[in-house]
Parts: sequence; C-alpha cells; structure tokens
Amino acid sequence: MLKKLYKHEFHSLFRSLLPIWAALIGFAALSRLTFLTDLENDVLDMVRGLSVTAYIFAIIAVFIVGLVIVVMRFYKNLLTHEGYLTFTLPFTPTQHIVCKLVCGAVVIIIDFIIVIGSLLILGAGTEVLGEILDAVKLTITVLPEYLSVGQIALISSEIVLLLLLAPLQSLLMFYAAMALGQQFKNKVGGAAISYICLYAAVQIITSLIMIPIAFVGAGGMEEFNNLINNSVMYLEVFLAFMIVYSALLSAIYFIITRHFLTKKLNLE
Amino acid sequence: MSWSFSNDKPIFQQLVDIITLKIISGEYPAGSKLEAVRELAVVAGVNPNTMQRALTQIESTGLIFTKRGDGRYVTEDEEKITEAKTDYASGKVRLFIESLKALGLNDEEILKAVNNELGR
Amino acid sequence: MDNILECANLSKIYKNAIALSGVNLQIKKGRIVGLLGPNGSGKTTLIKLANGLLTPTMGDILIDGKPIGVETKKIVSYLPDHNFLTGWMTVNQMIEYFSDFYSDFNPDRADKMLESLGIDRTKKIKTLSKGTKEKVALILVMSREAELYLLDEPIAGVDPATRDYILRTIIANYNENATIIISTHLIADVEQILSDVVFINHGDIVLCDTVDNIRENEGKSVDELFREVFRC
Repeated sequence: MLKKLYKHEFHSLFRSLLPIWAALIGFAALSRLTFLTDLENDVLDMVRGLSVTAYIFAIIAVFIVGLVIVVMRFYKNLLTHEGYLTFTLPFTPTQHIVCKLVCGAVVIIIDFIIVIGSLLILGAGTEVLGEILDAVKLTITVLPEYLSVGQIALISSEIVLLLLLAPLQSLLMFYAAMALGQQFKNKVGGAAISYICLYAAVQIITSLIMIPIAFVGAGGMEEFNNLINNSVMYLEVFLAFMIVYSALLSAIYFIITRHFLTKKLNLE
Repeated sequence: MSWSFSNDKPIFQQLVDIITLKIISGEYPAGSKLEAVRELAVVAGVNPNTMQRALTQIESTGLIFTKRGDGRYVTEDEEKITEAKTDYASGKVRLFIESLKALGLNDEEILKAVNNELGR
Repeated sequence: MDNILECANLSKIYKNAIALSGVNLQIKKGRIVGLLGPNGSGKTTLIKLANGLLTPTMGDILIDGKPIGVETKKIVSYLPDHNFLTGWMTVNQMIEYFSDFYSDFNPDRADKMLESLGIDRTKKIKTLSKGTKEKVALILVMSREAELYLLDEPIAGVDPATRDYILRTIIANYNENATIIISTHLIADVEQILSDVVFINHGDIVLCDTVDNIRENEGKSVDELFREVFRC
C-alpha cells in the first residue's frame, strides 16, 4: 500500500514536470539544429537567437519551477483542503513526510540529469564537448599522481553524499517552515516568516561554527611544504564535517516537521 | 417519495400504522411477499433499524410472518386481515365519536348525522 | 466492545475560543446518529478530532477502542463539510485513488451510483458543478464498507431532490454493524433516518437520546425539541 502512495506522489509531480523537461530537451535539440549550418541568413539567426534564449529560460524554469512544484505539492496536498483526504488515508504523518521528501529529492536529481543531458545534446559533435571530455580524462589520469586511491575514493564518495544531502536539506527546510507556518492564522505568511527565521538562525549558527574551522585551515596553510598533504586531509575532514552538519540540520528540520504534523496538526 | 410522518408519535409506531393500512387496503395483498427491510426502509425514507422494529411489531399481531431464509410475507389468513380492518375501523370511529362528543353532540345526533352521510 | 466512538473529557481550545469543553460521549455500533447543533457549536471540531485532522487540547477520543491513527483511519469514512477532492483528477482517477488506499472500497457500488446519476467519469473534478462534486464526494465516501461514517453537513446547500437522493444513498449503503454520524442543522430533513440524536451547543453535549424516546416522552419531533432547546 505504501508503494501506491509513492506511485500517486510521482504521478502528481511528473504531471506538471514532464512538459517542462520536454521543453528543455526540445529547445536544446532545436538550438543544436540551428548550429548545424554556417549559412549567414537573417531568419536563421533569429531562430537561433530565439531558441537559445528559450533554452536558457528553460534551464532556469527547470530548477525554479521544479522546486516550486515540489514545495507547493507538500503545501497543497497536506495543508490545504486536499489535506482532508491525505491525512485521512491510512498512513502516519511520518510516512507522508518521507514520501514527499523522497519524491521531491528524486525530482531535483532528475532536474540535474535532464539539464546535463540537454547540454550534451547542445554540444553533441562539437569541439566544446570534446574539450570538456578531454579535460575530464586528463583529470582522471593526473589525479592519482597527487592523491592515493583511498583518498580519491573517500573524497568522491563524500562529495556524492553531500550532493545527495543538499536537496534533502533544502526541501526539509521548506517543509519545516510550512509545518510551522500552519500554526499561524495566515498559513502562507506564517510559512514565509518561519522560513526567514530558520534561514537567519542557520546562517548565524553556521558562521559561528565556520569561523574557527577557517582558522584551523589557515594554520594548516602555513606549513607550505606539506600543503598538498595537509589540504587533502583538511578537505576530507571538512567534507566529513559538512556531511554531518547537513545531516544534523536535515534531522532537525525533519523532527520539527514531524512534530507539528503529528502533535499539532490543525486543519481549519 | 418518502412516506410522510407526523411529529407527535415515534416513527416506528407510524410505520406500523402505515403498513397495517396497506395490508388492510389490499395494497399489500394477502399472501404476497414483502420487500426486504432495507428496500422498505429506502422506500419509506427511514432508518432500517426503525423499519425492522416496526415489522417485528406487526409480526407479533400475526398480520405478517417470516419464512425462514425467504423473507417476510403478508398473512394468507383473510380472517386476520378482516379482524385488523375491524379493529382499525373501530379505532377511527371511536376517535371520531369522541371528537363530536367533545363538541356537545349526543349519541342520537351523531347516529343521525352518520346515517345521513351514508344514505346519500 | 459495543462503542464505536468514545470521548472522555474531550476538549479543544483554539487560540481565542473554546470549541469543545470536556465532552463525554459514547456512540454504539449499528446506529445512525444525528449530531445536531447550530453553526459554530462544535460539530465540525468533534468530527475533525475523530479524523485526526485536529489534535485535542485535553481528553481522549477513541474509535473502536483505539486512539486515532492508521488503524482507525482504515475503518472511518469521512465526508468533510467542503470539497476535498483533487481538482486535476478525473472521476475515474479519484475512484482509483480510493480503491488504492482503502481496502474496504467497493468499486461496483461506486459504478452503480455514478451510472444512476449519469455522472461523466472521464471529466475532471474541477470542471464539475458544485452539486455534482458533492455527489461524487458522497458516492466515494459511501462506496466504502467502513465501520464508521462521519458525514459533516452532507445535505447543506443542496436542492430537495438531491437531498432525497443523498438520504436514500445513506440508507441503502449502510450495513447493520456500521455506524453513521451525520452532522447537520437541518433536522427536519434527516430526522426520520436517525436512530439517535446528540444535541451540541457551545462545545457541550446538551442531550443524547434515541429519536423514539424523544417522540414518546416529549410528544414532539426532534426538530421541535431542537427549536425549543436552541431558542434564540
């Protein structure tokens, strides 16, 4: 039965996202086609200009509209009149939050994949793409000279983990703000104020923590001879710290969301 | 349309009266099968429990009976129906006489008025 | 366990108003109960508490002996007092949604009712008229074979023919072991399908009795009694 919850969640999200994704791929392909010929022609120039502009807007739309759709889905489906149905389904609030979170994160990851895919389409067969591929190859061949296999594995898995945590953390911050906002008379206004407060609090706390870390890093830089070794270590520890910090923030946001949707739910 | 009910009596009692009347009048003929409780309740627009209670009450008078696993039937005993008809008539007449007496008419005047009406 | 719904000292206080104050109530299985009271008396608050859409400030509410949660949501079928369907879904998708999540949903029943009302199942909910939306909502809710139906103002604002259809639908689909709680302020229209009534005013239970008892003891209809109790 839980599977069906995810099925309906994805259906609802993809319904609005597929057209945007299709548009992005479409504009990328159209732009690529206009570059196939070197003909000097006013009409062609205009089409080229328009389709590239449309493509750029589509990239922005994919990220912004994508995020808005995911956040709005949470709000509408749980905290407006749709919540009357959602919260009377035989699931716990926690199951609803996790479902929304997982599906939202998947959407954001697909956003990135689609954008990268569209860039590949745009660059297909061109020198630019070749140069990028060469640079990637070079990096891969050169890296082992500076870093051990273990270091590469650790740092790359840390980066992947951080990249996966980033959408979870940012979505959960929105969710927590909306769950808090629901306690106010004006839910949308309450959510906005809660978001600003959360944001400010996290910024202040992060700065307070980051300043000493930056000093430790600066101290490490002094030993110029060991720069590479130290900075690699520094990077590893810093990334690990970022992961823990991000996970901690996500957990706090999750607990806030869960608390307010379980113990303080007030659909009026 | 739903049956109509007055405000002063329990609904189940009014159901008893209405169904009894339907049997007396032949709308539900002797020996015929009654609809299931739920269908009757839907037709009357009442709670099925109330309909159930009314039917049980009528059953105790013998006007309807239950065949095991086959629902309820109106009695085949014509005598019983006639009896019920007589009971109903006397009840109505009693009320009617009481109301006229309350207006100050005596037995003779009432009888005369009834005969006049019937003789027309 | 004879009671499907039990409230013990149940209170709900909003920021500046008391919606329910120490309600004690037991509702038995197999009844059709009218939850009657003027607007703002606490009817909707009580029903929302039973659905877990609100959390009590104090006291307890149990359904079939269990606190509100997944297990109670499985057996409760709820019709809110305003539209709760998803606008972009078609009637068919809404039916699929219900049958995916409620194992007690009976699609045949829904089919029959939709057909008898001539509702186009391929239409999106948001394109339907207000009255049709209400009918679809009622069909979905009554197509479940639930143990407790909570119907919040199901007949407010509909024409007499629809009202008749709704009441008929409720009688026809209810089984002897299920309980239906109907909240309304239009008592004359529902009185004859009720077995019990609960009068609620200013968040308090004023009276709780069977319809037969009221008529027998008071010699008047519930509607008349209501007008007396709540005379302005």
